[in-house]
Amino acid sequence: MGFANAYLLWALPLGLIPIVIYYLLRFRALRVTWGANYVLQLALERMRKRLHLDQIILMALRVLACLLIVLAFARPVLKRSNPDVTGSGVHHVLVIDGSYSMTAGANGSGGRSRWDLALEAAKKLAATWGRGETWSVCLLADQPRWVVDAQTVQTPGDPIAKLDALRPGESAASLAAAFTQIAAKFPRGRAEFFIFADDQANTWDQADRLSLPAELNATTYWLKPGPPAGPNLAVTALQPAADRLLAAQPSRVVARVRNFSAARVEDLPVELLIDGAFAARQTVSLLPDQESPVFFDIKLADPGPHHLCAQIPEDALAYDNRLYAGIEVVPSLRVLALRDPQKTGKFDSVWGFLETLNRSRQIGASAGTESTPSRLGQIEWVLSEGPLDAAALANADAVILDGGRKLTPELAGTLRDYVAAGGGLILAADASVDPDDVNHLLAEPGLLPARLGRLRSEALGGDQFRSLARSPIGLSPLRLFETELAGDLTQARIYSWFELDPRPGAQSPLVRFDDQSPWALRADGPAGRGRTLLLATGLTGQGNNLIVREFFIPLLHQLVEEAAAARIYPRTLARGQALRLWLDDPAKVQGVTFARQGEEAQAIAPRSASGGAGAGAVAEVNDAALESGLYTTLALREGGSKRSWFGVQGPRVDSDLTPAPALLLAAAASRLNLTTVSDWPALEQALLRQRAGREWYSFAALAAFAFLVGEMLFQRRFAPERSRKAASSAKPARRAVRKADSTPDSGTPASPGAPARS
Amino acid sequence: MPPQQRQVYKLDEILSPHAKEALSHLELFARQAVQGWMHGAHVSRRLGVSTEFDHHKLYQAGDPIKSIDWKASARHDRFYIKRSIEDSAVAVRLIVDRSASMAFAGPDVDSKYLQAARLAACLAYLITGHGDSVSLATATAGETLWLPAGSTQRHLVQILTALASSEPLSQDGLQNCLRTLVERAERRGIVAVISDLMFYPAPVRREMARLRAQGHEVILFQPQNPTEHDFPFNRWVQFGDLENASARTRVDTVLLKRIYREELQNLQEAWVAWARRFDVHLVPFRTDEHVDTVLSAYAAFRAGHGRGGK
Repeated sequence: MGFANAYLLWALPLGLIPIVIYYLLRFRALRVTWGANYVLQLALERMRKRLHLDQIILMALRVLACLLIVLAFARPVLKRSNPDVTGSGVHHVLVIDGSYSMTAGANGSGGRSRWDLALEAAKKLAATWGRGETWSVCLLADQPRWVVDAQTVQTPGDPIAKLDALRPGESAASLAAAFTQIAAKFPRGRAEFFIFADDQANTWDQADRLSLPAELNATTYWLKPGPPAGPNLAVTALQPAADRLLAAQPSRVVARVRNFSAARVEDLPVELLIDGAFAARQTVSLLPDQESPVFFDIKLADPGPHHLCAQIPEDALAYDNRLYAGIEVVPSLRVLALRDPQKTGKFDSVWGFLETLNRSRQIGASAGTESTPSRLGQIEWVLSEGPLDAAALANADAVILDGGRKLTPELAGTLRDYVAAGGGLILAADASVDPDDVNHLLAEPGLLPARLGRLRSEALGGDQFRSLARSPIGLSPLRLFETELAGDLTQARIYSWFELDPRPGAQSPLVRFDDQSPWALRADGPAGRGRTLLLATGLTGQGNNLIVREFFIPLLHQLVEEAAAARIYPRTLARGQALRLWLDDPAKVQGVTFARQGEEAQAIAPRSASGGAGAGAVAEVNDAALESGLYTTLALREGGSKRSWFGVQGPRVDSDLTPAPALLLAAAASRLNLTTVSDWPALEQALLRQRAGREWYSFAALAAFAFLVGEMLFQRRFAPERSRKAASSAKPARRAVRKADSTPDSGTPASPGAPARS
Repeated sequence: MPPQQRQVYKLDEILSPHAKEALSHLELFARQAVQGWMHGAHVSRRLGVSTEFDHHKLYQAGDPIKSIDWKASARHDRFYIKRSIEDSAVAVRLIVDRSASMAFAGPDVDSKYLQAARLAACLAYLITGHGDSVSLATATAGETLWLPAGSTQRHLVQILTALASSEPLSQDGLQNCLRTLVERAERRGIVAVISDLMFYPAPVRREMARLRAQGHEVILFQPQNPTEHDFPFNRWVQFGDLENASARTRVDTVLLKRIYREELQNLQEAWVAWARRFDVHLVPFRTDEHVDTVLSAYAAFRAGHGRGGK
């Protein structure tokens, strides 16, 4: 027998309270001069004989009741002799949910997150371990990670320090995977498993299959946090039109917001921040589990690196309420159009149309007005008719190749080098293109996303044609056309096109025909830089009406920006994707630093790289653990440092806080013999019960209550009976006389007063 | 005539005009034949000594029908009772318990002794009003006051003065007083004892039984204090004994209450049983009642059961 609150045993003298009260009341007795002393003495004589023992019993009951109340507060526990459950010699295994859903605020926790509560409980638990006990920590992530693997407690603060170093990560958690490892790691022996995880459905996926080895003597506890406080929404994506944008040109940014709550959300404000400053705000209403795009039209005047942020008000899970993207704004783009010298016809190549654009720009410039759309002025169209070498391509952001230039092996090699060095190639496959050459020289080396198939040619102006589809919306290059602000793609009429045969693993089409077959495909270069766009038709206007549609110039420039964006490494990265920075002149670079916003910078070492269009270096952070957020690199140069911004956007794999079905949790609790507690005091109680045995405070309290009731019942023995009370409080003698008066053989009535008053 | 004593109570307090008015129409007849040399309203044991007409009395309810003088009633169209001079006057002996326990008075209630004195005064007033003689003894240990029998108004004043000048003292002396009365072997009459009966009953009962054996009619008036009967305590109480100032009893009344009431009831039932056995009228009354009311009720009760015979 032990006591959980042994210090309360100091209060045991409180059991003397009844005795003290007894003597206090006796000392403060009412003083009465009594007339019926003869009767009083008779009663006292009888009480001394009969009730002396009763008084002792009554006093004992009172004292025992007080003692038991004190014992109940001291929480007596009955220790078991079974060493298996005493807590010593047991391997303590902490299974901590390290997913970012644990950063959600717990309802009623005073603003603290589930992670805070779990870690606090884990540290309090670790503080109870003694020196020499063995413990492990399994951090639940995409794959369970054993942060502490069967270590021995050296000092009491050792586990706490290691627990303090834990941080939740951007990942989902799977208990099933963790228990698979646990089952392999602990085939037998004694162990205590403490699960610090929320009740998220994806965490408890397949929880009904959880099991522990039969030979493992294990007890399992689950500290289950409270439900999330408030609604839960997330920004799931933030996509600028391209990583390289033209300065002072309108562009469109789309943010995607998803409602993970079970309730509808009205007029949710979504804000776009540019370089940390507020830029625009949109509102969106979402049904439960609905995801919706939110569009922002922006125009950036300052060339250079910028970063964008889409954010919504903080909710239950603040982790996913913002996303970042990095962009590079350039003042102009240089596009090289290839043409053979002899093909000077208007529709021989795209240059015929581009020349017209250039001429109109020059005319407008000389007249002091821009007759063409302003964005045309920031793209420099250059005609290349001669041999193409690396020097000519060095300053070109993109190259347009179509049937106007015959594809030779030399040209193909130059273009491959160009794309490998970060160039953008647009191959417009008009009817003049030799598909065999293209497939052989470009597609087979992997430069193109697809092979050219059969050429389909229909009669011009006939009913057999294809148009372009606006769906699916959301594709980055064509985002301008989603709301027809830049023209209606469905107005295209295409009578001649190649059927494209995408290679396996190619990206989704940028633009589709109306029958959903691809019209434009994109392929990124092998080193992460460079890009190739393959169009199923030409841009010359031969066999289609593209050049006369209002969307043609925006579409052309969108394609050019998309191709030219590959000049730099992606500034908006998916999680796990390497963060790379291209350094054009590595000799002048003194160093490169990398930092997450708000954290200290760290130096990264560039490695040299070469390409057909020039040599350089790559500074790379190939850390799969990069989490969603804003990152920056700083290249230190002699002439001035250059900063670049990167936005890492992880998939919202853990944003859905929907709890697992109760039946699933019940099945898991049954299979693991799970003891579910809500907080540390409850866990402490459960541990006390399990380790030290059953607590008896409830029985002590019950016994105290029983003693009190017994005391009250016992005291009733001394209380006058109701009938006697009535008889004595009225006129006892009169009643007695009436009895005598009614006696038949009494002769003379005994009471003269009774008849008269009755 | 006893020496002049300091009056504890006023005479009006002992015998109020209201009580006189209430008692003016009452008569107290002996329930049995009495002995006496004086003529009176009570049946004498010495029959035939005198049969002369004395006077007529207006009939009142309760008067015996056989005493109606029908001729006189027919003449005056009223019922008259014919009184003969052959009846004897009864001698009534009032014995008032003057033990210290009679001094107990509850809240807003007079002491048992004051009520006993009032009752004795009313009885004396009633008896002397009908020409009967009355004597008084206030019984207390060693200081019993005896007033001889008398029937005059002066004697009544002496009785009232004696009652007003007395107060409860020391221990109980009722037994000695009754024994003295028994040993005097006076003519048989009515002995009215007024006591709370809070003492060991056997000696007193023995003396009263001897009085009954001598042919006296014994009436036992018992003043009862409501507080003593209700025992309204629920805490520790230190009881002081009125008859023994040094005696102190400290007791938890919560535990005692039930037993006390049982003992009190047992004692009372024992007195009732004893009174029935020896044909003694036991008249308990509460000290918060008016004694004239008590006496009126008792007189009516006696009248309802007729006068005594031989």
